[in-house]
Order: sequence, then structure tokens, then C-alpha cells
Amino acid sequence: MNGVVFTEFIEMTEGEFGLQTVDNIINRAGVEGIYTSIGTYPHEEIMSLVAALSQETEIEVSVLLENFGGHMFKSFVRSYPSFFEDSKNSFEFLENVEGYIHTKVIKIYPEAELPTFETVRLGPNKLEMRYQSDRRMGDFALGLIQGCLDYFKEDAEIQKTLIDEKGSRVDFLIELK
Amino acid sequence: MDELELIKRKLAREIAARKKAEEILEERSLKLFELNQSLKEINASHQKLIYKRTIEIQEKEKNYRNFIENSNDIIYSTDEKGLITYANPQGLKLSGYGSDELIGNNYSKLVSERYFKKIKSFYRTQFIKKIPSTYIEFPMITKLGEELWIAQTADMSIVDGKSRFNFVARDISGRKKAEKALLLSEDKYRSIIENMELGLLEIDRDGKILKAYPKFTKLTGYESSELEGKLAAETLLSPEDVAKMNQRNSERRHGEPGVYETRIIKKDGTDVWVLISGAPYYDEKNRMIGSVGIHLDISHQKRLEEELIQAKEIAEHSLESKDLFLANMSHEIRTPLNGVMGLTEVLLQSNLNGEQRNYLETVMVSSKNLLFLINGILDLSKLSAGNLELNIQPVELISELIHIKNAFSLAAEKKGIAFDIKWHNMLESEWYQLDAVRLNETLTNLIGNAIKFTDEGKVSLTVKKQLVEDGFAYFSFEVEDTGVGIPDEDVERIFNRFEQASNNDSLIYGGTGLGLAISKKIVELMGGKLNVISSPGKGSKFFFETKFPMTEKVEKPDNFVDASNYAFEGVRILVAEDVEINQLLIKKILGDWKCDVMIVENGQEVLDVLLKKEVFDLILMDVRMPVMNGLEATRYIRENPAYGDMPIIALTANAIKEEINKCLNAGMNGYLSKPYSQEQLFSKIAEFIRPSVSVQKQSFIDLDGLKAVTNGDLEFEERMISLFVEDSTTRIGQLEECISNMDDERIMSIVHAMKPAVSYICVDSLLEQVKEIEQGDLSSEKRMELTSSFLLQLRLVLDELINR
Repeated sequence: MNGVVFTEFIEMTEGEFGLQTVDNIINRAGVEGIYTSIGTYPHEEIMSLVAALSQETEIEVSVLLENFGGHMFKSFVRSYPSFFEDSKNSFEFLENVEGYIHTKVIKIYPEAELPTFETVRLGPNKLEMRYQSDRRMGDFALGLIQGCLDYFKEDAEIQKTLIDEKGSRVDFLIELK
Repeated sequence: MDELELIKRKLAREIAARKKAEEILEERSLKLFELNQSLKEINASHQKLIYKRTIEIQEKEKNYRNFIENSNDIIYSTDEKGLITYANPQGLKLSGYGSDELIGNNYSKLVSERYFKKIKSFYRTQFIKKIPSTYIEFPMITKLGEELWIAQTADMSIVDGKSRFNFVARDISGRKKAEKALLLSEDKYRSIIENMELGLLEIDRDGKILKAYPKFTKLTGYESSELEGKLAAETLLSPEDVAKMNQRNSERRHGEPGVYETRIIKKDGTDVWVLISGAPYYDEKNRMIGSVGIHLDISHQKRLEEELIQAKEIAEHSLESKDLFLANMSHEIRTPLNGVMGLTEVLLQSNLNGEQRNYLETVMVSSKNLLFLINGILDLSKLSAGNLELNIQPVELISELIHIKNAFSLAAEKKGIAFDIKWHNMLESEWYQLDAVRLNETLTNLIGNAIKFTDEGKVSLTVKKQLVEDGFAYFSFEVEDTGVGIPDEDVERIFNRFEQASNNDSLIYGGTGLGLAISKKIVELMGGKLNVISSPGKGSKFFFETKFPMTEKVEKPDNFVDASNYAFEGVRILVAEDVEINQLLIKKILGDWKCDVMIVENGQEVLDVLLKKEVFDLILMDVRMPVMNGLEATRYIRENPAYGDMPIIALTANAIKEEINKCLNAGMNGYLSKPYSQEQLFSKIAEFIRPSVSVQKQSFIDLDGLKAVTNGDLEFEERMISLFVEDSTTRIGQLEECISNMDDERIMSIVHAMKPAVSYICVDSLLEQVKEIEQGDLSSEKRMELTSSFLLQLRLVLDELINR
């Protein structure tokens, strides 16, 4: 798991819940807590940290992951503004994730293990997006989509459907309002 | 935990994170460096490779260019509009154009005007249908306006969306010329064959006529349209020839060419003989697809052939006729000869004077020579027909040799030459299987010749038993003389019929020239070869080798009976004989033997006589007779049991073996060939009927004269007779001496002195002889001969007197 995810998670936790909580979840998760954005760390560690935060704050993991997604998107906007130059709206951007953004990500982080996002435009305001990853971070993806809609100042109803029970395949039906 | 502590811990984490990040960055930068290094190396090696490839490509291009430029083919390219973009040197050379005259021009410049439309449409099709490669032959036109046949391959390729044509063309004017020449020569040969009166017919595998050429239609009278498509065999052959043709065709289907003759039925129904030479022909894959028959009208030859066959048949027939003629001639001569010789023999037994006896003996010798000649001719005709067979019987060889010696001793003695027969390694009791008659004939001929051609010196026969092996004895026979000899150039010729070493020889020595030819054949039949070594003036040696199977001694019944002492008194003999002179002869002979003779003229009369219940002890049957021949009559007799097994003896003038077999097969018991001697006839009859002792004997004494003198005084008579015997015995000795000394005077005085006694005691014929010998004007030779004859009879007189 890419180091950015860890550094952004720590940053978000610090910003939302304070340094004490950061220290607590590091202790609770039993990890070193030393992360650099150019490093790569085991996927289990982020899940342990999220679980620790949930226990610390008594907020559900899914909510935490969704919020983390939104935070992450904002971070992407800050770090890689060029990613967003060519997209006029959220659908255009989402449709470019697989073919354009992930391609660029791989160039920067060769070790990154990225999920796949297939998109099907069902109508002018309707887009189906299928998430697929063994990381089973569908809620994180939902946060990212929501972050994207927020970035383009669009409002949409997002219907989430688990295609398999484990959550490694998740369909999002995005309908603009 | 206080905030400071928390910040410190965060800082510590961030410092650690930064260090980790720095490590990661170092690691990555090292990796980048290494990657960069290896990239540089790869680049360098790629450059090398590119350089090498470039060189290779340049080489290849150079090679291709060389290929193209040195090619014997015309190679050129056009763009899609047909404008020439490249032409190789051969293209320029053959077209006669310079490069600048072609590049940029339409390819039509190179196509003969006559063919341009065709070629244009051909390549348009290739262009539209995007056919990658095409082939076509057409005449190119050169700058000088000459046509040049080329075979052109066009490859179309598309480069950068634009079509391009690459042409490779080959000069095939030579091939075209050859094809044309072939067509011409085909035409030439076809017209030659057509003009040679040979009818050509093309037939497919099923025998259907594909094409009938003009000469064939002329030959058969059909129009070609009437023949084409029809089955050749059905239309042109008679049914019996069809089978023959089918056989031929199946052979031809196997690819065998053949020549044969057959008859073809013409349109008008008549036929014509043709010689067909048929040869299969093949398609390009070497499959036999039909045949060409060349028909030559051979009716004329066929007619000649038939005439030849006829002529041959006539010739063969005439050859048979010749044999038949010879047999007939032999028969016709033998028949009267039988009378002549038989009656001469009878006459010789009567009382004759010396002159008469001499004449008659000459008749006898001449007759025997004539008979010998006829036998020789008959033998030769048998030899030429391969019909002469040996009659092999057990023979005591030495006794045969002794007979020969006795037969020639006198002749040799007369000529004053020595004659001797010598044998080696042989005993008298040795018997062999051989044909004594033919061996005798051969040796007699050789010895006779030797004596004939030798005037001084000697003649000898030497017989040697060389070897005994596997039951065979191997002999050599040599007849040697010291005579005139034979010139080298004549040695081969003397074995031919009717040839003698010199034509003059026959004048000097006589003879027919048949003897050696026959002897040679006989020796060959005995498995040998008659050879001769001769030097003119010194003598000759005839010799041969042969082998005889050895055998046990055979006791033969001694049938030889001296006819003069015996008779068949009261024996009833029926004689069937149509020739009067022979009737006379047989009647005389059998009458002398006191037989009861009845003569009839033919077979029918024999049967008539037998039907009248006349009884006979024996029948002598001539074979050839009018009305009914002897064979037929014999068969009738044998079919009727009433006649029992009455002996029938054939008297035939036809001396050939077939005739003899016919006689025996018809049921006859024996045969005698004419002419026969009394002795032969007697022996033959004696085989069946036992003779009685004869009282009849020719007598040379006549005591009437003596009795007239003695007047019944028997004692005186006896004394006179014994005195005569005593005196005559002395006189015989003296006379013999005189003959050897040719002493005429003394002979005359001796016989003169004997004359009274002879007139008292002997028959008149002796007295006549004495009177003749006495005559002064007689030649010395004649006197000696008469004296010899007189002495012979005088001895008989003495015998008769002593045995009285």
C-alpha cells in the first residue's frame, strides 16, 4: 500500500482528532507509525489503523473510510492539479481515472497496486462505475467519488451495490441531480 | 500526555520517515544510475547492430541491383498509371531504347500494337481485382519496330497506398520459333505421310475414330464424316478380324507399338489388305489417350504372297509327285526286269553253247546293274525324304566281312591287284545289332569303287574294334587303295548325287555316281561320318567310325536250301500275277519244282477260285493288279475263317518299306520283292512248306553215244567212264594252267584230243563248246573264257559220273 495513503491518513487523523489520537491509534494498532509518501507498507497496517481509529472515536469504519476518501481526493487536487485540467465535469474525470490518471500514477509509483474502475455512461446524467480490488475498500472509493463531485460542485445520488459479499467488487450508480 | 511530548514523538516519527524517504531515494537514484548505464550499453550495442544491418541491407540491395541489372530477363517497374519508373539494362538492350526514352513513358510503348488492347485490358483486370501476380505471353515491339515474343510476369504491390507494378519478362522468341517450326514440321511430315499413300486414322482409347485422313478415306471409299465418331473395328473389320484387332488394341493400350496385317471392309463391301502400323499417343501427363494407325494398302503384295504360297504348294506337290513317280518308275521297271532276270536265270540252267551262255550272262549282269541303279535311285529318294531307316538285327559281323571278301576276291584277282580284309580285336563269335544289308552296301560300294579306280597295287578293308563301353562297341572302318586318287577340288563333290570326280570317269569306269551319296547317308544313319583322304596318283582312303550295340549270338533257322537239289512235289500253289512274262516265269520255275500251279490274273479271280472250293497250300500274290489288288484280296481271305491260315506271300515290284508293311498289315505272311532269284523264291516258300528231295537235276552226261560203242558191255562201259574221269582230271589241270598262261595252241590241242570222249559221254552242249574252243579264228580272250566255262561244266560231269 502506497505511503501516501498512510501519510494522508495520519494527517487526516491529526487534523480531525488531534495528535493524542494519532499517538493512541499507533499504539493501539501496534505499528511503528513512521511513513513516507514514497514508501510502501503492508495493506493490513492501514486497516489496523482505521480499525484503531474506529475504536478510539467510536465512529464506524465505513464512515471513516468514506471520509478518508474525501480527504484523499482533496489531497490529490492539491498535489496534482494537472490531473484535473482536462476534465470539465465529474463524469469526464471519473471516466478518465482508469485510462489516464492510473497510467500516470503508475509512472510515479511503479509499485502501486491500483484498483480498476470501469465506467459505463448510462445516460447524460447517469454513470455506472465498477470498483474492483482485493483491498475491498469500496467505502474509500465512495469517499473519493463524493470528493470528485464536490470538487466539480456537482450534486448526485450515489447508489452502492456489492457485487460479491466480500466487497472486492462494488458497483456505483451515480445519478446527477 | 502533554502536547510537547506528543509533538516530540510526531517529530521523531517524521525524522524517521524522512530518513526512510532519503534511503528510499538513494536506493532509487542508484537504481536509476544503473539503469542509465545499462541503457547506454544497450544503445551502443543497438547502434552497432544498426550499422551492421545497414551494411547488410546495402549489400543485399547491391546484390539485388546486380541481379536485376545483370539479369537476362527484362525487369521494369511502373506506377499505377502505367508510367515506367525503372528499366534494367537488359530491358533497354532488348527494347533498343535509352533509359531516358522509357522512364516516364507509358508501358504501352513496349507492346505490339496488335496486342495492345488485349494487354491493356489484361492489366486493368489485375489492377481492379488486386491480383498479386499474373503471367502472359505477347510480342514486344522494339524501338526499331521489330516484334519480340516475351513471357511477362507482373507483380502488383501497394506502397504507401499507391499501386506499383514490377514486371519480369523473358525473351521467348526462340521457343516461339521452335513451336512454329514444330507446327511446320508436323505439317510437313503429315503431308509426306499423306503423299506416301499411307492412310492415317486416329482412334481414341475406346476404339472410336477421332479423325480419318484423306488417304484413308480414299482407301476405304468412306467420307471422313461417315467414319468419325464410329467404332473403328465395327465399321471396318469383318467379325472374325475384330477379335484379332481387340487383342492388338489391348497391346497398344499398354503402350506397345505394333505392325500387323488385316483386311479392311471398304464401303462398297469389297475388302482390301492393309499393313497397319499402330502407335499409341499420350497427353502432356503421359497418359495414353489414343492411337494413330498408319494403313498401307498391301493388296498387291498379298496377292503376290498368295500366288507364292500357291506356287510353293505346287512345288511341294510336284516334289511328292516326284517321289510317287520314282516309286512308280521303280515298280514299272522291276516288273519287266523280273521277267528278264528270271527267265535269263532259267535259260542259264538249260543246255547252252558257250556263246549263248556268255550272252545270257551279260544280260544277267546288265540286268543286275539296272536293278542296282533302280535301287540306288529309290534309296536316294528315300534319303531325301528322310524315309530311309536302318533295319537293325543281330549280326555276326565277321561272317559278313568274310562274305564281302569272297565277293570281291575274284574281281580283284581279275584286275591283277591284291585285295585283303583285316580285322583287329575281333572274334568270330561276336554279334552286334546292326543293319547288315546297309553296312554291306556301304562297304561293297567303297570296295567296288576302290577296285574300279585301282589298276595296280592293292585294296584293303581294315576293321578295328577300338573300344567297348556301356554295351557298345566302337568300330573304325577304312577302305584304302593305291588307285588314281581324287583331286583336292573334287573331294567335296564326290559325295553329291550323280557326281564323279571327272565327267570322263564315267566313260572310263562306268557307274552312276549314286553310290557315295548313298553310302554317306547310310554312315550318317549309323551315327558316323564318311571321310576321305586322297592324293591324286597315289590313292584314296575312305573311313568312318560308328558304334554297334553288342548282343548275344542268335541261332537262325537255316532256310537256305539248294534249290537244285530239292523240289516242292505236289505242292498246290495259286499265283496271282497280271503280267504275262512274269506268269510265264513263275510257271516255269514252279513247274520245275514239280508244284501244282494255278495262275490267275487278279485278286478277284483269286477269290473266285477259292469260292469254288479249290484248295491250295500257298498263294503267291502280286500286289498291284487290275480289278482287285493283292492287299484287298488278302483282307477278304483273312476275313473268311474257312480259308484258315493259308500262307500268302507277296510278290511286289514296289520295294519300299511302306509297301511291305501294308502287305503284312493286310494279313500276308511274307514278301519277296521283284525281281527275285530262284534261290530267293525257293527259300521264301521253304519258310512255309517243307521241300522234298528233288530227283530232277540238270544232267551234263549223255551215255547214249558210249552205249552205242560198248553195245551193252557194262564192264567195258565202266572202264571207259573211269578212264574218262581219270583223263579229264589231268586235262582240267593242264587246261587251268593254259588259261593262266593264255596258251591258245595248247588249249586247242588238248580239247581236240578230248573231243571223241566228250562226244561219247557228255551232253551235246559240251561237245559244242569244245568245237567252239577249237576254232582258230577265236580271240584269245574269248577262248580263255569259253575254256573256263567248259572246265566248270566238265567238273560237274565228273561229279555226276562219280556219284552216279
